[in-house]
Amino acid sequence: MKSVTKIINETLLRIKARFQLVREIQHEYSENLDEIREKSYSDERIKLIIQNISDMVTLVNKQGVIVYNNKAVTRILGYEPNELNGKGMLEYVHPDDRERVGNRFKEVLEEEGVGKSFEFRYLSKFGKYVLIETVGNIQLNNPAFHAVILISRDITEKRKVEETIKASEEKLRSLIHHISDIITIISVTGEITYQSASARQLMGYEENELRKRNFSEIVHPDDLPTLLNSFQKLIEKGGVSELTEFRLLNKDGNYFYIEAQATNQIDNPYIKGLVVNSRDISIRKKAEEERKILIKELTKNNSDLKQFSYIVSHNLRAPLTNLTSMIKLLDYSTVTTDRSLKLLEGFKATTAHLNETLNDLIDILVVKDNTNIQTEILNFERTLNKITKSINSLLEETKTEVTYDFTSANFVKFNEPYLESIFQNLITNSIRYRSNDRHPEISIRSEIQGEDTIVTYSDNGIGFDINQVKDKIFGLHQKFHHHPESRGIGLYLIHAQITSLGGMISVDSKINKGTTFTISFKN
Amino acid sequence: MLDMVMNVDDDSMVQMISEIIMSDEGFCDKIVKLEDGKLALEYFEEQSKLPEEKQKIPELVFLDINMPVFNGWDFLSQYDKDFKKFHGRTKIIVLTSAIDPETEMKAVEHPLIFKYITKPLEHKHIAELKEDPLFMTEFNS
Repeated sequence: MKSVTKIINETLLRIKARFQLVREIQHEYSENLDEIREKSYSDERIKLIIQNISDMVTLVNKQGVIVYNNKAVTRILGYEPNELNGKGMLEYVHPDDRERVGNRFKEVLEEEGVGKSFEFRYLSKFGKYVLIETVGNIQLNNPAFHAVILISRDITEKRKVEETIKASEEKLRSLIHHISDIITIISVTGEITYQSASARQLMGYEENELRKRNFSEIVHPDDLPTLLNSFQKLIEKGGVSELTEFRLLNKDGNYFYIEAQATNQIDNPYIKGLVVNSRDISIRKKAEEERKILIKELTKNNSDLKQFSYIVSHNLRAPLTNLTSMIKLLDYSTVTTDRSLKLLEGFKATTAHLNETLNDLIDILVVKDNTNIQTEILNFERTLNKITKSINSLLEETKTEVTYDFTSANFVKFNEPYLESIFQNLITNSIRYRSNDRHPEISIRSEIQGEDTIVTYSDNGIGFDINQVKDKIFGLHQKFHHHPESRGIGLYLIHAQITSLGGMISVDSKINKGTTFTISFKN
Repeated sequence: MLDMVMNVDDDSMVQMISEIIMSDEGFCDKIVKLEDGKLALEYFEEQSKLPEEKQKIPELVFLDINMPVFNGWDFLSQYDKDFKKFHGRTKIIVLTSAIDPETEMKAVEHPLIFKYITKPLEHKHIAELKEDPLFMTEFNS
């Protein structure tokens, strides 16, 4: 077993010997001598280079025994350059790789020259296996070597990086594969260069089935001009497009709605196109359509109902006004019997009652229908005085005392007839539901709270059980007393008037103590 | 006193009430009672064929809006087109039981409508008309 050093040394010795001989014999041919000396230097240089290159150089003989290692073996595997000389190379190969490497070695022995690279794990001096990539060069017949030259390098780091890249690629691919959005890459010419697998679920196309086709082929013709426009804009201006809705053709030949956003990645050498992220919105679109139809139907129904109520109230009102007129025109002095007079009185009262009810309903209809109500700056004190004056006889008759304090906030932006209606309804309500034990007292005051004007209205009437009526008090035809004059419309009406202008009304009451209404007017 | 008032209403009760009130007030000499807008137009049509001195044109028309077949609005648009020559001689008052704000708005803004009265017609309405500068002279003598 000869180490490469020995081989080289022997070779050198032989050369030296030959050189000696030549020198002795051809003493006179000194130019030849220089030539030979030059060759000797050259060999020395090669030896040095081999010793010191970073790749590991190993010479193995036909039997697989290591005969030489350069210095790199120390850096890569931790052994001294001559430490492994005489050892079987396979002993140091990882048991799992040994058979493969052994077979390979046998194979290459038949060949000549540089072989293909192969990888295996090599046991280092520290007991760890190092991943090695080796290229063999068969020089068994070369008298200078009679060996296989193995040039190896540590590829642990390289492999690690490769694996990291592979893993992250796999992760990305899997992400795109399983995401419900469709990712498409479109070149500047509109050609689809990539389409994610999610296209199959949503559109029936296999992954990349649409590749090489132009995206305009699968866009609904009606949506195409707008889309081409934004496509062009995105190519020119770069960045990210707006979220756009359009229809795409699926494999069954039907169009469905998607919502898409594209990013210009033309300058990205790995993409060279627009990355389009699209999502199926057909369900949302369908719901939107349904909602539109529903709203249309509701609007029509509502308008029909409104029309209907106007017609009904008109048809009721026409004969009723005739009755009212006739009663007014009737000369009672010409009625001769008490019976007829009584009946006529009853006729008159019934007509009046019917008329009032109808007028209330009409008022509500007008408030509910009117979406554009005129507002102006109103003076609480003036409006209240107008009302108290108009019902002065009622106030005097019932000895009702109305006190007020509008010093904190005397003005409000509201509709005048509405404000009059509010005061009038509240006051007549207080009188209607007054206590028999005391004279009615009403107190009204106003104040500013934040942006709103608050009016607090209290009476000392019979009150009611707030817990029983809380949710119903402002409803239509909710009567809480068996009072003959109660028609159950006043509170509903003022509630409608207040809320139609963005305000609020709430109530609190204690039985036999009184009732307090709090109205908040939006300024 | 006015010479002639026309009352266009399909409700005979309204006709009766209006007649009583106008008679109480001594408002006019003659009332032409017509059931709908079509008949009212025909009346004007006939009068327009007569020589001017024989024409009997009402100084005032009480016009209902809600009438079957040919309503108040139909009458107004036709009257506007065909009988421009009477516009100066005849005032039109809409007398209706309609309560929707749109009708009132439309009536108030209509150039041919002199007044809008919500039914029922009352003595005070006629009394007010007697005080109106347009008719005052008729009642001062």
